[in-house]
Amino acid sequence: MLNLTINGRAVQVEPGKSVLDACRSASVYVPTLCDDPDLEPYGACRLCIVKIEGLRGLPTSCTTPAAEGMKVTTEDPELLEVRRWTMQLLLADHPLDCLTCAQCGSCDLQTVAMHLGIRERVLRPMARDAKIDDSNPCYAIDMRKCILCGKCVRACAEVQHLGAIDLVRRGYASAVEPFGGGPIRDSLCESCGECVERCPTGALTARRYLRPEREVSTVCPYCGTGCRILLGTRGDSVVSARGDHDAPVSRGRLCVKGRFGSFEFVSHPDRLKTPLIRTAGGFREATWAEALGLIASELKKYRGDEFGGLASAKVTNEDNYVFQKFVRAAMGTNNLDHCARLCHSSTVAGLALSFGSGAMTNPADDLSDADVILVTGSNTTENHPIIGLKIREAVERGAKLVLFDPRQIQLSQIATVWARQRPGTDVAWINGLMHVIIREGLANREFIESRTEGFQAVEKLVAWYTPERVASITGVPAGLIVDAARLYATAERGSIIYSMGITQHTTGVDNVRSLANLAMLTGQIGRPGTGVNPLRGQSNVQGACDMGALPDVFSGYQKVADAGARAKFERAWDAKLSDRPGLTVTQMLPAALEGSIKALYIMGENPVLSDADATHVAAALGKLEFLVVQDIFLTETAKLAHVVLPASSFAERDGTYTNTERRVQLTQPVVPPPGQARRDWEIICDVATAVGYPMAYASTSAVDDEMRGLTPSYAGISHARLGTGAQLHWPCPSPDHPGTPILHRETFVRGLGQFHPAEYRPAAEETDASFPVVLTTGRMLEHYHTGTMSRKSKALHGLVPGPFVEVNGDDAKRIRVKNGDPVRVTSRRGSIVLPAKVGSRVEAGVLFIPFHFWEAAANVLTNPASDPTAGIPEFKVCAVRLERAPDPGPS
Amino acid sequence: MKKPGSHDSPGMGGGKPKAEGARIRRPGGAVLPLDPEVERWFAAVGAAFPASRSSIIPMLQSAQASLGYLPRDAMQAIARHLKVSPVTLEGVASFYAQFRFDKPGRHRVTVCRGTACYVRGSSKLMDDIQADLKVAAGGTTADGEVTLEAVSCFGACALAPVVVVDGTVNGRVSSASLKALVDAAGQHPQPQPGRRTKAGA
Repeated sequence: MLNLTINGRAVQVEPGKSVLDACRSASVYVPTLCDDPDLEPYGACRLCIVKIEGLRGLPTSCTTPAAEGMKVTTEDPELLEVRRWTMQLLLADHPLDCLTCAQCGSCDLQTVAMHLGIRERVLRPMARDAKIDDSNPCYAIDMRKCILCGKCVRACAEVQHLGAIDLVRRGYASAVEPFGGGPIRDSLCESCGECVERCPTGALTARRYLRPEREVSTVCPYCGTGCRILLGTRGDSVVSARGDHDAPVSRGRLCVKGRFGSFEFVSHPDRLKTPLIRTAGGFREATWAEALGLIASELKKYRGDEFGGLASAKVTNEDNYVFQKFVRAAMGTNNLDHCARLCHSSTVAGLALSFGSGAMTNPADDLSDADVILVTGSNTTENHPIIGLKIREAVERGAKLVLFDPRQIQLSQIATVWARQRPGTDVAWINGLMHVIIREGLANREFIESRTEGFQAVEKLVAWYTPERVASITGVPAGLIVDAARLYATAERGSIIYSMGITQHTTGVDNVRSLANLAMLTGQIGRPGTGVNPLRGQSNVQGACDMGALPDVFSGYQKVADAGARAKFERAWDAKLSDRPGLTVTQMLPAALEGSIKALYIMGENPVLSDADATHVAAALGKLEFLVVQDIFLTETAKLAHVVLPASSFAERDGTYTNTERRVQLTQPVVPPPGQARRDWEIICDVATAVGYPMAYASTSAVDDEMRGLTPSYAGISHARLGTGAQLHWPCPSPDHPGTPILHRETFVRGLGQFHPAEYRPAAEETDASFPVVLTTGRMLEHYHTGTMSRKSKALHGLVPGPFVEVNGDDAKRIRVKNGDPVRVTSRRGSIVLPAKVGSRVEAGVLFIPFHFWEAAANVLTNPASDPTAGIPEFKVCAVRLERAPDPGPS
Repeated sequence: MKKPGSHDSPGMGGGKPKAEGARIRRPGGAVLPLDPEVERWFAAVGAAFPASRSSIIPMLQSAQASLGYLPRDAMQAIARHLKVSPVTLEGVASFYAQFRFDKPGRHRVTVCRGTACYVRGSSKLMDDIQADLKVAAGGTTADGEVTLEAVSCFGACALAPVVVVDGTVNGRVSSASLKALVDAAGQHPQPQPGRRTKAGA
């Protein structure tokens, strides 16, 4: 520790701290406008000047390192005078419309003016020729109020690792601008708002913001990263959102969805506020008693395997636990699934077979230890933006990025190796990498021998996959296969990141297991900075799986077919349980169509938009004798229901969420639910009771207590422990267990890691003369899933108001369409018309459509053919035809 | 540091544009190839610069010498090579007066606004030529023929008012003689080599 004297008071600071830090630890206010704890010291505003005995002049305290014995004076008449003149210079061209300024009350310039006692503007006012940029629907830019402190520029570079803006020109003409000076909307800007959050004045302000009365930390409702948001409230409405700096995963950072699009839907007028019952002409409002009575009398008819339940990856662990108990114990069936089937069921199945546990092996912060990061089938910077930042950070630090992705995603710009495989050829290139690694003697024989089994079969199989053969299958040049193999295999710590580009194939399980083979072949697992890391797509999709919202397992992946596990649950739940694994969501819908499933209960899912072959899904749901949908909005699926029940949004419930890293996080309600809406687990308990299986809990944590008693991997993760700030990753078997951030350290969960030889199999649907183009679908930064939440946000909707299809310039030229022209995309299952986005993000012969938009639903086209083991549909490859739409008319 | 390549004209050494890495991201994620002249400069000269931030100014200078100005695509190409953000380059380039961002006209007319020239009527000279060419100082005529500029002093005060046309210093210029000089320059497709004349003599 260093000893300093600040204004005569002794303070101690750690070495490496600045004089400004020392002043602050002495509780002395030093005015500053350009300092930020997340940014490097900059020394631009010249207000934090101090006097230091023995040093000449007035050094800026933010850029002066604290040193032993320093005697610092922070305020005297001379310092005050210099600071006042500095402020006068800043104020000379600053508008004084403070009362109507968006920053009023939280403006640092105001604070400093107040502190210095500025009473008048002494310099002749100058009007600066600065512009107002109104192009971004998330935040407003008024450069007249800019004081050129450079915080926004530094936040963009140092926090977001992007560099969309910089200080250009000089002197009076200086300004912060994106490249070329055009509207910010047309720049590289990702609208993350890190600049807006740090702007000391009203130059950058969020468009939808009211000063909150109080703030509550909760988990972001969007992807599976598990960032925490501080939602600000006034009365019962949410009025602001910002990053929670105490959050372990995000450390205050948020993406555009979390910061600008996470709360508008909460108090949206379209929220469901009462139960609805279908009538001949639509829906009518009903009381809870009436709705529950109707549900009870109907559901009693379908007890057993005529009933199915779809749980939700957006609700808490407690909600999902209660739901699976309801389906299994009250309704007597294992026909239970949720949308993890559609995103990562191949991961859950594949990694469980290879390693014994179907989840991310390492925490996301481990990326900072990795030398080589292999990313495939994950557009990380758009779909898990905060994990994307960790990748950008790692690359900036010197880690090498190897990217296999058919699309020119943002990560391709910082990749050392970027290979564009043809969609659906992943097993081939992974086998190719293994071929090169074995051929060049880079395999980790010691690891293979001591930790794994079944290697010989893989060694024999990959011998055929020479880089040249792989090149002819995948379209990736042989040289890149060799480069990628060498980089990954020779890394001290190599990490694999993947997502739905790997899983959503008829070969999904083979893809996942091939990546597991690759990690075991090189021993890149079980240590910090390594591992096989599937990024999960929804805020609690990991938890919904862990809670047993799956047809074959109870909570904690205890198999329903296992007599011991079943006996344990039968005892605890006092019910006879089925030993037969139930139907998956991809089996339930066809079963509904043919009549063997007669009633469905859907909690917080929208299969009409999210499942493959939408026309078929709607037909299947229409065929049901009874459909209950419990949701926060009247979704495309809810419109088909017989009874709709109003549930709580993320801001209204308490409970735990498990993020993609297996980290369990506790949340509190931020606002009460609107109208008669209720917590999901409470509704389910009432439904179960009404059908004759009484369920009741005193609180959410009482649900958690019951769940933990039956689920060894969660046994030690109590609300009480989480409430003290403990960061716990499952498995955590006892109250004193520290949790397990890194899996498979000494041994694999299943004992030995199992190699699995996988031959390349082509996609289920290949291109032909009538359908010559490959369609791949996916997500984008600005929207989320079926748009139920994100499209209610004016900010997100403003950024991307409608659907589009990415078309390569050559393909566009061939059918004579320009950027923005409507095109028709047709598959064997359906046809949609939507505007073309022409560029080279996709290669010729490939199209990409995001699936968020009901008006041109990508899943009208997709192929429901699915992986034989996991049942995941092949969303990533189907054959289509691209045509110029005949008439741009009113579509 | 060894300066790679010479400041050749854009036409030189254009035989082997780099196929790999020759694409950049455009707003909205669309990726387009860069302007062919920029690619020719990059392949012939730019690619040889070391990929470090210390190359920023030498590369900007090289591109301007080759292309006559710094088109956006040149900054994109340099940004790609140096792995910095394009706007960072723009920040550096726009700080210095030596860099220009608009394509210059085929002819360059520079009116001196120094004290001596001002006293001898250079502001009227400027007003008249602006009205005549329908362009403001600092701009280029719509047909791309003439770029009109003002400077603070040429150091040729004895000849005031001074106007430089395509590098040729003209002294004692009147509005009429300036119009004649500009018209005469327009007869030549390429600027004539610079020399000193006294237009009024």
